[in-house]
Amino acid sequence: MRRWTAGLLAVLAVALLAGCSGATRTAATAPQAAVAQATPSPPAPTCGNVVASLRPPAALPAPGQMPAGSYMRTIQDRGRLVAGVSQDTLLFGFLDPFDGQIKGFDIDVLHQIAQAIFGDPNKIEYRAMTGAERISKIRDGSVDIVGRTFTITCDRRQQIDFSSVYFDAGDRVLVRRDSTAKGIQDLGGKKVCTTNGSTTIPHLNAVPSKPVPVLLADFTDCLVAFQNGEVDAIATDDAILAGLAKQDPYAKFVGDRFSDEPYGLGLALGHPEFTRFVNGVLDQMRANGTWANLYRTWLVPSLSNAVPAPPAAAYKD
Amino acid sequence: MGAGLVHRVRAAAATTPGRMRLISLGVLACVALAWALGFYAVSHRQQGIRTVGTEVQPVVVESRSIQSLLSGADASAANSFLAGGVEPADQRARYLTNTRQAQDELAKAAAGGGASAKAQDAVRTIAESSATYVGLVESARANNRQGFPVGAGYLRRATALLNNTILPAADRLHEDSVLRLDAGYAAAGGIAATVGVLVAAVVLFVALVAAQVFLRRRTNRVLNVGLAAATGLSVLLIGWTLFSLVTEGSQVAAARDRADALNLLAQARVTAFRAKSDESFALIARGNGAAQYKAFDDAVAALGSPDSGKGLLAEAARRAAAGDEQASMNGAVAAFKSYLAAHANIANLDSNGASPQAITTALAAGPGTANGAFEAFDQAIQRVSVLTQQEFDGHIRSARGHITGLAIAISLAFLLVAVLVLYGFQRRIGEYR
Repeated sequence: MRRWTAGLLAVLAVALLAGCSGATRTAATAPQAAVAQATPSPPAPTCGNVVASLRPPAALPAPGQMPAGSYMRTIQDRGRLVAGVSQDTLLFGFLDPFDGQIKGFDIDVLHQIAQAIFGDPNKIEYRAMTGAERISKIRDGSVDIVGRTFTITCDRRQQIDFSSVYFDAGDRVLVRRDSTAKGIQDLGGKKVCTTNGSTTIPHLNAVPSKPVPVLLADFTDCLVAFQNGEVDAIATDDAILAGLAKQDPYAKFVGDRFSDEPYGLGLALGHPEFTRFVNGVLDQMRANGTWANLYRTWLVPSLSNAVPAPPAAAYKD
Repeated sequence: MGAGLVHRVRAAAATTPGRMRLISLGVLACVALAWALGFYAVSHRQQGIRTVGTEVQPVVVESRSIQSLLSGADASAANSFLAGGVEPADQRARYLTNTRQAQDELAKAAAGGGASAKAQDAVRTIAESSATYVGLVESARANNRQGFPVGAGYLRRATALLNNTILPAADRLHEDSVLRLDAGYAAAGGIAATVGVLVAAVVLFVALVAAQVFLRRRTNRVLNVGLAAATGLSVLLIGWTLFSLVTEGSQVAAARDRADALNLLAQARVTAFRAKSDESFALIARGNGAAQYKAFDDAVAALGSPDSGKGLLAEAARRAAAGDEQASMNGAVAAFKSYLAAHANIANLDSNGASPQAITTALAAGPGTANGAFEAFDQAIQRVSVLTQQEFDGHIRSARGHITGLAIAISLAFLLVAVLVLYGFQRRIGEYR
């Protein structure tokens, strides 16, 4: 009897050990699998035109005179726009160590929104955040708006609202200068860094040569890993990669875009008047040359040698 | 052979002088036993004191020093980083001093604490990782000076390496030395040896008295000078040995109390530095520092205060000796309280959308600022630590003084006892010729 019990225990122990080690191996070598399970994909939502946002009003209220009852009025009464940003994405949202200010293309777009609400572009309180925190911080009301290289996707649209597209980015890949890879297709089995919760993860998983995704919190963490030789490449939106390449002269772009990443400002569901207002401001920026000026200031020549036309807005009513 | 011995003993026991010789041998055996136990007790304790005072306690202190120096360096590096491209000269100087001193402490720990494989492994981990740590901080600076955000990435990684690898390794070194220290304390102040000596003393005393009673009955002489002198000397000798062991034991206990206090002070320092780093990282996170503020609050809760009666600071204050030490401890507690007030102001600015002002406030140095108050706290804690260390050293010195030379002295004295015993018996045996 005793021997029988001991045998059963031994079998149980072996089974447990096998189960544990199996789980560990899956988590360690296949982070993409874990991520794929984390985002429920089966009931694939349908969004129609995913980039279509709410149509702006014919005329915007004057700065400092937001209509009573609107969310803009709440912001105006508070005295500052609370904005979720990145502070380490060079060119789009980064902390300038020389003057301690957060700057970049995304930040200047937010300045335009603050200007439209208050008549003062600087009435902004920044909340730096990682990419993975963006949706939750919008949903729990920590921030009014997120301007942080935020790709509009159908999944995300189920949880938050987006402005019209204000920037067209696309996934590319950054490798060391001496790499012979010509694009993402040549990086099969190589470690490619990107961030937690980014839209690049499914795109990387879809590459037939199967690069190995390595997920870190921030792109600067990816650059540290890249410079230490822990990863072979960094893959994400070209807009972000341009800022990384600027910090490391031994990094180079290879290959074409392997995805489209339309950027929108992230907003909460529940006050559509604010989305319409923001779209109105973006329309003004496209029309009056502000958008082109921002592009020239931040992205020529790091990303492109010429200023392209601003992305056209698509609307639904 | 065995049967022969028994036969000879029986033959000897048949005559009075033979019996006397046997009894004298028995008494001498008791003398030898008392000497052996006394000698063992004393030299065991000497070894224990050596372990505690000069071998292990320094490693215990060094392992904690490495932690507080590197945590201090990290707090300085993080605070400097807040300042942007050009860090404040005093924070940079503190970082350099701390990392250099940590290397020195590590070298000492490597020289003195390499006894166990676990300790050696911990020292190796600290050495390798702190070299990497310094490299990461310098990469952070170099990038930061060029205005590259990747500098923040390097700094985050440096701090993660410190918190996840270096500090735990120093903890392991500490735990390992504490185990050896406990063995040392058990040797240096253990009761078993004293009890052994006491038992041997009683046996010897009974043997001596019994021998004298026997001789008196056989010879009708009241006094045997040799045995009486041996008894008196034994009583003195045992009394002296026990007194030395007990006073030495109480000095060792006092030293141990001081060592515990030192450990508390070191833990308090490390925890305070962690809090200070967390404050900087909360500010570096620009309005998204909830996790760092939580870590700060946890560290502050662990520190506690004498008012609440809980936490490291309360315990350290309870253990501080009266006088200068208590005064310095009070100073440390007061300084920490003003640091917390300054921190509350910074956190308040930060949470109300005034990150830039919060950072300016957190960077300011001098009296009345967070940095100034923290500096005052750290210096006061260091002052208390120095005093406590001096007390520890004093107790160890005193403990050692009580038993230095004791082993040789009791050896000679027990030899004299043996001679007196032999002399006493020999006189009586001689009378039968």
